[in-house]
Amino acid sequence: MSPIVRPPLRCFQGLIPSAITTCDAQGEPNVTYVSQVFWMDDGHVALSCQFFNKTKRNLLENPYADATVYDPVSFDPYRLTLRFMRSETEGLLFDQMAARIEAIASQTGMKGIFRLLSADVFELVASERVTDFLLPDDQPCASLAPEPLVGPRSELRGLQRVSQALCSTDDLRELLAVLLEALDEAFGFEHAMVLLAEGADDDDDAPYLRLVDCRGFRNVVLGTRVYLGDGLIGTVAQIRKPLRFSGLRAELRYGRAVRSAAERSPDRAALGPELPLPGLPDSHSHIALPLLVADRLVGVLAVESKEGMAFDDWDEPFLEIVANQVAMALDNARGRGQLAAGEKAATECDVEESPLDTPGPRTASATPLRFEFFKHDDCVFFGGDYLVRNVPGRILWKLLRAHADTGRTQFSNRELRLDPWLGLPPVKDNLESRLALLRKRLDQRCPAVVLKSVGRGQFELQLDGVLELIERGPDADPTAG
Amino acid sequence: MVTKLTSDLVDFIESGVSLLVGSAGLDRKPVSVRGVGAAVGDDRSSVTVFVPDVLADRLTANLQENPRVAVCLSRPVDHRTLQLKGAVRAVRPSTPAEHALQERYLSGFVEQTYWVGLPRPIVRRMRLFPSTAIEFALEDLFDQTPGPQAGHTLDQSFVP
Repeated sequence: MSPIVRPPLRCFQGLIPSAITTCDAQGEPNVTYVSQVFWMDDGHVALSCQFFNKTKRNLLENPYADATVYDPVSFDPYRLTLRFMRSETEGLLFDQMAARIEAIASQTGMKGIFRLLSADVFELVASERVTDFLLPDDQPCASLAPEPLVGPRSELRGLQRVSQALCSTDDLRELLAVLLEALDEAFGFEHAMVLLAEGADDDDDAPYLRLVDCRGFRNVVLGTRVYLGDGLIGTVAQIRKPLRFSGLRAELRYGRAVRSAAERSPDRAALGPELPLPGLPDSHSHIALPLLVADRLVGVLAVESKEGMAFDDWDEPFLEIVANQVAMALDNARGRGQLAAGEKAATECDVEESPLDTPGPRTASATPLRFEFFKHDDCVFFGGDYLVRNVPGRILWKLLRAHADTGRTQFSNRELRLDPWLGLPPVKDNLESRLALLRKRLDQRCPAVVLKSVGRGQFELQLDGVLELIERGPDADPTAG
Repeated sequence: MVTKLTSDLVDFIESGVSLLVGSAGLDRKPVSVRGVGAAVGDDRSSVTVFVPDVLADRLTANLQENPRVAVCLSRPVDHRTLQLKGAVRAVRPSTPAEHALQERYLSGFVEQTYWVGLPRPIVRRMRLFPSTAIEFALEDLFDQTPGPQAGHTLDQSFVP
């Protein structure tokens, strides 16, 4: 028997379509594409069967088959010599393969039409890398692999960072902000979102997820509902297992090809609309993880990238650990009653609705609100007590000063970013987290001042009292009272 | 049965799509090989496909035992896929004129795969020569686009 050469696992992520060749008992060959090849172990692979077709009929007559998978980075082919063993229609393997197909089917409006009929298990008779398919690489050329993430990337250190962030606060808004910030900075995951499970106990509504916070998306609407089973994220919530797509565009293209064919078939009446992608319109890699505590679904953490193969085999288990921590933290927050339906954090994402926001404009009372700003260390005191310092302190002082000077109440994140006095770094300024911290401090120590989110990147300064602002020089001692 | 290709299908087949050539010997163990280059005969009922020699051994050995051949042509950008089946008439070394055809075909394939994310410099490295020309008489045409109709005999609704 030929030795088994194990192809890199990325060959099985569907970036380059695989084909299977079979023949019937009379020797008539048949070549067709297959949507999923699953490496089970060094002796077995499974192929997805969505439609009972000539390939299946051939395998029942003659078990031998030939399949080729391609390395999406090097374009090297690997030939798999196969012998059909059995079709599985339930169990772990079937569920695992079906989940990917269901997610794509749901996303492309083909629930129930494009589905796994069976996971066809083959004995791997031989596996070899096809040499000489490509001419020697005499010059370096572009690769599909994404550039390495900038800076040190130690998963353990990243986990530590995220873990610390999650333990640093028991406030939901801040928790979500620091989580998304830590995922970005520790793992380089710039585009991430958290959705919380809701509606399960409501007889009037099917269970759904609500998008409560996100980072790195421009046109995402906070508050958006995702019903269980709908699209990539809804499927993850339904099956309660993580799903990773390294070549989402390729898988969607395959799904759309099936859809296009289904539109010309009797199945067309059952087609639904194609769903928009959850975050980035041009997402290439997508990983979504269920947030589970015991057997309860708390929500879903979804991370996206415009790069293909952005998440490797290591990212998935690490993100699962992160997801477990997030699930517990969110569940604790919900247990404390912080998590009323639709609660959302203030981010730059569009705000569709905000039931938690204080209703109606406030009417300022005559209560004096005495703030002091100490220039030498950017400290802000309220009523003689320390309130906040550094960038959040400068932000607060800028807002209060502007209001006192001009009466302004409306502000934008953009103008904060453009103000050099605040000292925000040009990239990764973490403005949302800083605002979240500021809001938390105000809420705890100065509830008469509120920064109310009023739209995408916009907020309103609400005061219940009359401002009194005192600026202290570099020689002042903030602790002197 | 004589099957004639429409001009749309001729254009599709010769445009530089993904091309796989399948065969099975007397042992009924099938093999397929990626080809680069396809030319439809003037009669529109025969097709010649080109396979680099370094990949062709098992394919040509099978074809000597059993002349049945299946050729799967798929456009990467939308997976529109056609399967041609027939009986091999000739297996021979390709000519210099056919090398030029293969090079044009590869240029088309490089562009098509570029649009689905494969860098051009990698796909340009696909080996072309020396190559074997496999000419076959076309007997059956199938719509192999993934979906519920995959494997059905091609009807007039198939527009590549």
